[in-house]
Amino acid sequence: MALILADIACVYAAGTSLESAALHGVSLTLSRGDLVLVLGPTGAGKTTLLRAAAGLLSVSQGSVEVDGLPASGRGSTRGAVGLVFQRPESQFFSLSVEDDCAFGPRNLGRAPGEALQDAREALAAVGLDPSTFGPREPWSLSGGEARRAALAGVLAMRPRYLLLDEPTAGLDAAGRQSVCAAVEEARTRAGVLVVTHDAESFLGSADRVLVLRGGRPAFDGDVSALLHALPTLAAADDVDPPEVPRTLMLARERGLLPPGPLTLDVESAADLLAGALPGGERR
Amino acid sequence: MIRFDSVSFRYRGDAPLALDGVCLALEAGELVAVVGANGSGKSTLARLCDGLLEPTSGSVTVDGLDSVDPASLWKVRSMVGMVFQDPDDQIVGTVVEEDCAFGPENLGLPSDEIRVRVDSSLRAVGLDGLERREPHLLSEGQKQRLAVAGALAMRPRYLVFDEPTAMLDPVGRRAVLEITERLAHAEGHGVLVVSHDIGGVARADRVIGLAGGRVVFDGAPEGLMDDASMLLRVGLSLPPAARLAAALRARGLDVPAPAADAESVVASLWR
Repeated sequence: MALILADIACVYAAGTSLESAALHGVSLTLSRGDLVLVLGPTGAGKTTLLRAAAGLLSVSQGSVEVDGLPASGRGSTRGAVGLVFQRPESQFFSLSVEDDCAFGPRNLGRAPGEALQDAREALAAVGLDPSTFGPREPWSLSGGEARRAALAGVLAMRPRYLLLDEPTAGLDAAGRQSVCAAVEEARTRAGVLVVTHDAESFLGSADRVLVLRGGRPAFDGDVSALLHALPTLAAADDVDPPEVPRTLMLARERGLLPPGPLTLDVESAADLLAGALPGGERR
Repeated sequence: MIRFDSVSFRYRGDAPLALDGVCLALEAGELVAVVGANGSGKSTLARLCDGLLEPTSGSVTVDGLDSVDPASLWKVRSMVGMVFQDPDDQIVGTVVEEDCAFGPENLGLPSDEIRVRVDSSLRAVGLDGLERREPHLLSEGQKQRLAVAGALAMRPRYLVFDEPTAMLDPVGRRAVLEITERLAHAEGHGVLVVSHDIGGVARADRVIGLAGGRVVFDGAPEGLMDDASMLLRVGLSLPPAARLAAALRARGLDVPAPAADAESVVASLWR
């Protein structure tokens, strides 16, 4: 049981003079409980990949399957994949948060009472107490609260796979933290795919990372393999390295530290540096 | 200078104050970062700078001119350029140079003057050579630079950026941050950048921190980086580099306290 993209290609405006290939030869498997990150510069095809995975875009090559069924067209599994667009809080339209969150499940044909129950459960799952936040006007929420409420609106549909486009963009530190916690909770119910420039927030807990460059995979592997490839990926501007490994990379460039592995962890990085420098002692 | 004198603002009669008694000054040649949690009043502050919003009480003046006096409002707007978060919101032309010319054309300037302004503005943001490119074919970072060029073509003395890097990838983000710094320090504009971007904060001459509509910090970025509780209050987290610096100090290495990024940590180890 998984969301599987097999060797897909996507072409925009096919057959016209504006034809452009946005994705080529990309494969990805998302299982329940997984957190998969998709990184890469603007224009690398990240959002196209999300749209293809959600069945919003037909692929010109390869296939997209959700638990063995096609992601789009006849026989597809409606409601199995939830997609949260960039800045989803701009899509609020109800007068209360819980009504907004219940819209998705109602549209899937659930009874109003059941849909409301789903909405309240989803709000609790993203850390918004339904009795406090449910009756609030969506426009009165702070940035981090609004982003989580929008996420709850999709979780309320009980998707088996959750796709998030830049979930932390434009949020302050507390907002980013609350969204990361909501993603961790979502992961207990679904496979989560996050497209982001914010590697810093998600890398620590990701199972797998796909880096796109010009629509093609530039890297595909787990976090320790990514750390190994980080100097090369950073040099090509595919990934902005998180600050801790970036400090180690800079220290190596200046000959302060012998070649070796990188780490995301502050204490291990400090040990590496302290062990290599005069006057430093490892802990 | 742009000067806020005890400025308060509320969006509706019964709404709480979005800004509460804010005093600040932005001089030409200065790069000032405004930070604050979501909802702290940052964007409201940006929109008050050129009279897009009118203070509920207090006054905003630009080189001595009142931002809401009908007699000086247009002069004020021509002196303060605004660049918003999403460049798509402010791109109107069908090709790059036409978009950049939109503002000066509206001033009714002669065409050779417009040409000069467009060329120099596009050069200032590194978009020269792309004059005939259609804006939708630009990367997000290039679009944001085009929005900056459009503002520059109006020859403003002050530039106000509202979250200019929020939607950009790392390359676009660095390019826009470098431009804000150059516009202030090399070209002499007064530049105000509203941002959550810790990288942008570290480059600033001065940081203004907002919480609940009030100014709770006004000083050098080093002073802010040093103060974990203040960072949290203004919606920033202690930068990972600062945490690493603290861990290195605990291991007997001499790394001075304000460490905003990897460069400053490594520079202090290098000494």
